[in-house]
Amino acid sequence: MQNKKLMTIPILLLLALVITGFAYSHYQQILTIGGTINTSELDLEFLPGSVTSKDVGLDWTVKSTCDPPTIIMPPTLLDKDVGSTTYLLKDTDGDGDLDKLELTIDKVYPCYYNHIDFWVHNNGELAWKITKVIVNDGHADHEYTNLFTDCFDLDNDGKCDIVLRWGDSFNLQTKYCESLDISFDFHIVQDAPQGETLTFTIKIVAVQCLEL
Amino acid sequence: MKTKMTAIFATLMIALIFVGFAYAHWSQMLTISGTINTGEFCIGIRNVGTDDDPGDNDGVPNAAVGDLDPGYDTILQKCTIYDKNVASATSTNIGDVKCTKKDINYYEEVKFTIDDAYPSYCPMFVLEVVNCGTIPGEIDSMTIHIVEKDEDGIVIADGIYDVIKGDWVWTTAPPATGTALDDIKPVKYKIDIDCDGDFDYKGTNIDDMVDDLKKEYGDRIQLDECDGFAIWLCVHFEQGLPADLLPMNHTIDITIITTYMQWNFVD
Repeated sequence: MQNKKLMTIPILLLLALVITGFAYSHYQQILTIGGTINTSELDLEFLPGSVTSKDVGLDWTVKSTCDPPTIIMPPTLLDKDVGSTTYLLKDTDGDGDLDKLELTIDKVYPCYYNHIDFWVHNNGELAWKITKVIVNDGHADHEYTNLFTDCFDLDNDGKCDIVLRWGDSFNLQTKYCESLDISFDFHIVQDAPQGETLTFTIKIVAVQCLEL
Repeated sequence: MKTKMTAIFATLMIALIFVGFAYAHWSQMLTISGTINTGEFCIGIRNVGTDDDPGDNDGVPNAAVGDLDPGYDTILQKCTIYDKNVASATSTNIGDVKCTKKDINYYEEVKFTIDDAYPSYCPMFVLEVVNCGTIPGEIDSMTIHIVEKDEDGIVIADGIYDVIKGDWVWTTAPPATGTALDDIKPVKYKIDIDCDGDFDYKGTNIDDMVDDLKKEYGDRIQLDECDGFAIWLCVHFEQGLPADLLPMNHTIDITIITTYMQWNFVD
C-alpha cells in the first residue's frame, strides 16, 4: 500500500511536468479566418409601365354568378363609355421600387367588367415565388394559395358587390431579373350600392424560393 | 441508454430543422389597393304645370288671364280661348324626391287631374323627364293604365296598354259606345330637348311624338347622364259622334308607368 502511494506521486508529478512542459514548449502559429457576410436580397416590384386595363374607352360587360362565384366569359363590348379604371404605381417606402398599385374604378354599375394585367419583376438576388394572395374586403382578410374566383361584400351589407377572379400565378419560380405576368378581373354585381365609395386591398406575398 | 440518447439527439435535430425552415425564409409583399366609386342610376320626372290651373300658380303660364278655359277649334285646327272658366287642369308630383338637378327636384310619379271637362276643352300639360344620375337608362317597359267610371261610379273600362308590345289587356273591356276614352285625343305636342326653353320638335299626335323622341334618344328613349326633355302636350275632349257623344260626369284615371332600366340591361 505504501509502495503504491509512493508510485502514484512520481507518476502524477511526471504527468504534471509533461503537461506543463508541453504547454511551454510548443511552438505556436495563429491562423485567422475573417468572415464578411453580404446577405442577398429578396425583392420584387411592379414592373414600371406594365399595367394594362381592358377598359380603355367603351365599357365591357360579362355575366357572373355569386353562387358559386363565377365569371362567365367571354366579355362583350358595350356601346358607351360610362365607367373607367385608372391606375397608378407608387413607391410607398422610398426604396426606389414600385410596391403599390392603386386602382381607381369610377362611375361603375352592375355588370361593369374589367381585366387588369401587370408584371411583377424580380429586382432582388434571390428567386421567389408567389405563395399567397390576401384580399381584404374592408372587414376581413381572405387568403388564397391557388387561383380563385370569389365574391366580396365590400359594404358589409351581407350581399356580394364584386366578383373577383385571380389568375394562376402561384408557385412559379421567378429568378433574378425575370418577371411574372399576373392578372385578375372583376365584375360589379347587382347588389353593389349606388353612389358609394367601396374599397378593397390585395396583398401579393412572395417567398424566397430555393429550387434552382 | 445509448439508443435513447441518439433518439433525443435526432428528435432535436429534426425539430431544429423545422424551426430553422420556418424562420429562415424571407418574404416580400406587394399591395394593390382598389377604390370603387359606384355610379348612380336615377331617372326622375316632375310636373311643370298646366295652362289652366286655378290661380295660375304652377310653372306654366295659363292660357288666358282669369283662368279662362283653353279650347280647340277643330275646323281651324288651332287652340283657342273660351270666355268662361269652367274646367280646370292641375298636376302634382307624387312620391319621394328621386334626385335633384340644378336645385330642381325630380320625383317617381306625376299625376294630372282634369275637373269639369266638356267637349272642346283642351288643356296643356307640361312634364320633364331627366336622367340626374351617372348611368344611362333606357325604357324597359311602358304601360298605360286606364280606368273609366260612369256617372254612378261604376267601372266601365279597366285596361292596361303595353306600349312596347302595342296591345291592350282589358280587365273590364270598354263597351262599344258610351265611354269618354274614345273622345280624348292629343292634338298638339312640343318637345324641348335638354329643357333649355327651345322647342326642338312639334307635332300633332302621339305616334309622331314618340318617333321624335326615338330620333333623339333611340328606340328605347335612352337618356345618358344629364340628358332630359320636356313635353308639352295638349289633350282635346272631342264632341264625339252623334250616337256616341262625350258622356257627362265620367271619371277617367290615366296612369302612365314607365320603367327605366340601366341601358345595358334592356334587351
